[in-house]
Amino acid sequence: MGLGLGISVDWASLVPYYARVASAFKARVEADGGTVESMSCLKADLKVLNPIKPPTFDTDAQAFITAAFITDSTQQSAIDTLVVDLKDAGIWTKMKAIYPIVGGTASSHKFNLKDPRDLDAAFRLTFSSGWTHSSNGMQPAGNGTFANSYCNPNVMAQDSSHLSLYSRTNISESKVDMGAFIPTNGHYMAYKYGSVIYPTINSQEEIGGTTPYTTTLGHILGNRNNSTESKFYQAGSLLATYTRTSTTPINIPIYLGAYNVNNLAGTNSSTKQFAFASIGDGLSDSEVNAFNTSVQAFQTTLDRQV
Amino acid sequence: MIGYKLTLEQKEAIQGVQFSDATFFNCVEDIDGVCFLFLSEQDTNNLPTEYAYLLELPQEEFVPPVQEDII
Repeated sequence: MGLGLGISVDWASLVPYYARVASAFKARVEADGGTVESMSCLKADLKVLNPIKPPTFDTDAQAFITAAFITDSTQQSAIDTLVVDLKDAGIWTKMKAIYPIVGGTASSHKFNLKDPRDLDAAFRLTFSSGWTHSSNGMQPAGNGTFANSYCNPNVMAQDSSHLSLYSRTNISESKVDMGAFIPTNGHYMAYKYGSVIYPTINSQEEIGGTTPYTTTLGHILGNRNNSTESKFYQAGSLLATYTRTSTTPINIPIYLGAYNVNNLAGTNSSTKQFAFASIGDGLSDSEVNAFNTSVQAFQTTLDRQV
Repeated sequence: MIGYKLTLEQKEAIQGVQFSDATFFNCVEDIDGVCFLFLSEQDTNNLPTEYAYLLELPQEEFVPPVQEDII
């Protein structure tokens, strides 16, 4: 049916949801002799037919989106899906800090998804000079570049703690990606320190032998679920288990991009590009797998997966 | 890696000072104890005019201190 403005409507194809409104619209158009004489009338009716509804997100996702000023709809949707997935998997409550690293600037990357207040107490990041921020994540320059999470290992229980990051850089370097250390106890990620691993998750520092990691890409997680061992994962798969007696969690902030050594960034600091990081309680094998699935889907939506 | 070389006085004037929304200056010492500052392109773009003088400082190759395993 022609409307006189070069617009035609196939009434039969309209979905049932719109049937009643479409019927009223049709009657009004036909009452006008098959033409629309008033643009305001047309616009008003089209608004009824295709109402523009703002998307509704999970309240925690929305709080982050607002705080980090995320305006891109794909990024908004990715954050919402991530939150919902983590809640569905029962992981959300085990997280103290989640850094989605989305938005492309330090001002958006700094926020903690779990508590997006712009406060140290909310474990919001502050960055030393030397970071490069982009839509793909954030990359430290090395040589002492770090971000302070203000989250100390003793926020978690001695026998239940994890650290994770999503690395977009495959590199062989004797560097520490995140954590904290007061000789001789630590909580850090040195999973491919040259050719070896230091599996130090709330334990004394002790080399773990040849690293099981062949690349430094993807979601990498160090975990402790009991008093006797630490476990290391990549892309949701368990790579190795180490016998390490837990020690009292230390009380200095966890750094990203480096590890905090007595409140100074270690000079053996990372050059890997981070696209995600988390700090939280220990996870089961199945939770790590679900966590990875959620994080990988998040990266894929943002088209920065590795 | 190339960095800006600072005197001790210059380092003390900026160390830890926040210069943009979420970023602060961080100087590190090289193998000889000389202070260096590394700025990303974004850091440079966000640098307040009062710190523009940093971009005029001499740039040199940074040689890190000898690294003990693991600290």
